[in-house]
Parts: sequence; C-alpha cells; structure tokens
Amino acid sequence: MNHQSDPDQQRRDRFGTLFAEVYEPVQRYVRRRVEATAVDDVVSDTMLTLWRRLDEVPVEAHLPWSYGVARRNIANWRRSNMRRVRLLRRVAAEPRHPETSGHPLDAELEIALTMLDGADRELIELWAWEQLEPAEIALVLGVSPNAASVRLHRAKKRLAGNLEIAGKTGGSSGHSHGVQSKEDSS
Amino acid sequence: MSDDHLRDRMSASNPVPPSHPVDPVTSDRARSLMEGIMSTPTSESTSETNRETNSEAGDTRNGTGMRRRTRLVTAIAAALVILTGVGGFIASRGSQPESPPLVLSAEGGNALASCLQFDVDILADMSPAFAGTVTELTDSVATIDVDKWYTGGDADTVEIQYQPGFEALIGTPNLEVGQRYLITATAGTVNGCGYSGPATADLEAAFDQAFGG
Repeated sequence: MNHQSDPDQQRRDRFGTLFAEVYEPVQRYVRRRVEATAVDDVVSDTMLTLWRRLDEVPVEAHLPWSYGVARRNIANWRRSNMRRVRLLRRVAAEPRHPETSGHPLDAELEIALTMLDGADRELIELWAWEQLEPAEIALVLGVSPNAASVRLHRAKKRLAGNLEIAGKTGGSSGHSHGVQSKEDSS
Repeated sequence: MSDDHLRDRMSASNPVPPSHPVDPVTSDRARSLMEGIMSTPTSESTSETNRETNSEAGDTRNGTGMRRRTRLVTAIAAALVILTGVGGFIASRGSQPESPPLVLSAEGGNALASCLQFDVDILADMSPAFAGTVTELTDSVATIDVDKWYTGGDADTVEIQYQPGFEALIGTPNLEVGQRYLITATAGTVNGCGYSGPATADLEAAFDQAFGG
C-alpha cells in the first residue's frame, strides 16, 4: 500500500509527529498541577483528545494548543475531585490537612504566589515554568494575544509587589536562581 | 525586580523543571499509549472539525465516553510511571476558591419555541452543555454540582431557577437530589425536548457525539 496516498496512514503519521513533540512536555505540565495519582489519566485523556481533534491542532503552535487541552482536562479532573473531597469531608467531618512534601520551596515566593489570585498565578506559571510567550499563553487560555500580554504584565507587577511584602514580613528565602531552557525546545 | 530575575526565581522553584525525567516518548509505555489511542475511532472528531475551530471551545469537549475509552487505553498501556511528589506548589492548589455558580433559568415551556426533532447536530450548537448532580432543591431552584463541562463554562456549580412544569420538560417526573442530569441551555434558558434530561446512557452518548467526547 502506498502510505503517501492512504489518509489513515497520513493521519497516524501526523499524530506520531505531534505525540513525539508534546508527550514529554505535557507530562511535565500536568505533573506541575495535579497530584501524582491523577497524572496518567490526565495525560492519556489529553493525548486522546489530540488524536480526535488532530485536524484542529495549529501547525505553528502544537505545544501551547496541547497545553490548552491538558488545562481543560485538569479543570474537569479538579471538578470531579472536589466533589469527592467535599463528600469525604461531609462523611468524615475532619479538618483538612494540607499535603506536604520534601520539595525545597522559596518561602517568600510561595507566600507571594499565594497572595495572587488563581488567574494571575496561572499566567505567571505558564510564563515561567512552561517558558511561554504571551501569544502562546493566549492559545492556552483561549484569549487574545493582547489580553494575555496585558494580564501577564499586571500579574508580574503584582507578584513583584507581593515579593516585596513577603520579604518585609520575614519569609525565609531558600531559593537558588537557575536559568532553564524553554520546555518545547528540550 | 526585573522580568528576567522574576522568571529565574520562579524557574528555580519549578516543581517539575524541564530537565525532570518523565516517561520518554520512546518508552514501551508511550508506544502502547500511542498505538492504543490510534486504534480509537475518529469519525466524530473529523465530522465536527469544520464546525468548531476555537481552541477554548475545542478543548472543553472531553466526554465520559472518551474517559471510558481512555481507561481502556490506560489499561492497554499497563506499565506505571513512577511518579515523585511535586511539592507544595501543587498541594496548595487544593485550596483554590471555587468559581461562582452559573445561573440559568428554566421555564415551564421551552427556550426552543417548539420541540424540534432531536438531532445531534442541533445539540452540538447548544451552549452551555454540562453534566452534574443535583445537590440542593427548593421549589424554584435546583443547585447542580457539575462534574463535566462539555462546552460553554467552567463553574463548579450551576443554579437553575425553574418554574412549575420544568421537570416534564426535561423528561422526568421530579427533579431529585442525588440524580445526575445532562443539561444544555440556549441564551441562558435550559433546553428541553430531549436536549436536557436525566443522565441516561443514550443521552450521554449523544452528548459525547455532539461535543466530541
């Protein structure tokens, strides 16, 4: 069979290329945002959505578009997870204890991030952790590039202000400053 | 603080930095996942391609059917990735405030002037569309805890302000706390005539087909 003229094979080839490009960065994107036990399901759901909507994935922006799909899957996971948590709380009537881990945190930064609202924090994380530019963030969030740029600018200003406040209130800073490469070029 | 400094400081606290090992795309697990996914049908997604190009709307369309298939894919993939904790950044997300409820109205009549013959293509143009379980019920307000958005929203709860006769409109004798429903609306008013109703397997399949699940 001539694969060049076989639409199914062409589709499989296109998906293979997309999968190879986004599978690892999408895993990291998801692992930054959900608990470990949910990562496999969210990543699998995301890859399946990409397969089913392959014709809609913009050629020039595979990764931001894929992050957008993962973002929606995470939102649905959180929604159903919150239902379970609320139910368990009603049943158990126990106070909630935050999870802890051994990950070294920049205490001032954590305080400053906590002071941001969820939308600002998401912008900052996409910019810093996924190393996306405003036009790419716009694709993830489904907003205009101009809106993403303006919101990111404001979020950065608020974070910088929060860091000053956190510094004055004595958050111990255990951070180190390392420069990381852009995820989608890794 | 400069942008570069801020970005560097954030990057240094990245719970999963780009160098963090994840399941490589060359692994057996990744190959199994990819092959499993490519064995799933795509007719629904390709048929709707021209209708839906907006990425925000597009990525909302993850239905229960897809989840069922994904479980299968995951089972095929079998091998587990050893995952490490990702730190307090993620732990703190559990306390994110919930979004305000979406408020819809529901008349004793219908948002559609008269009942159209049920058609998945018509269903696909409706927004919002979601699945959820009734958690509170008064004589005029049903509060629904949303577990899945197909399109048109992201609120955790929806309040439907309804009038007598609404139950019959969506094909059920009574709304019930604990019952799960699939709901669509047009211009803020819940649709009946088969376009909203108790979450039966048939209706769920129609939502999956309409919204790319």
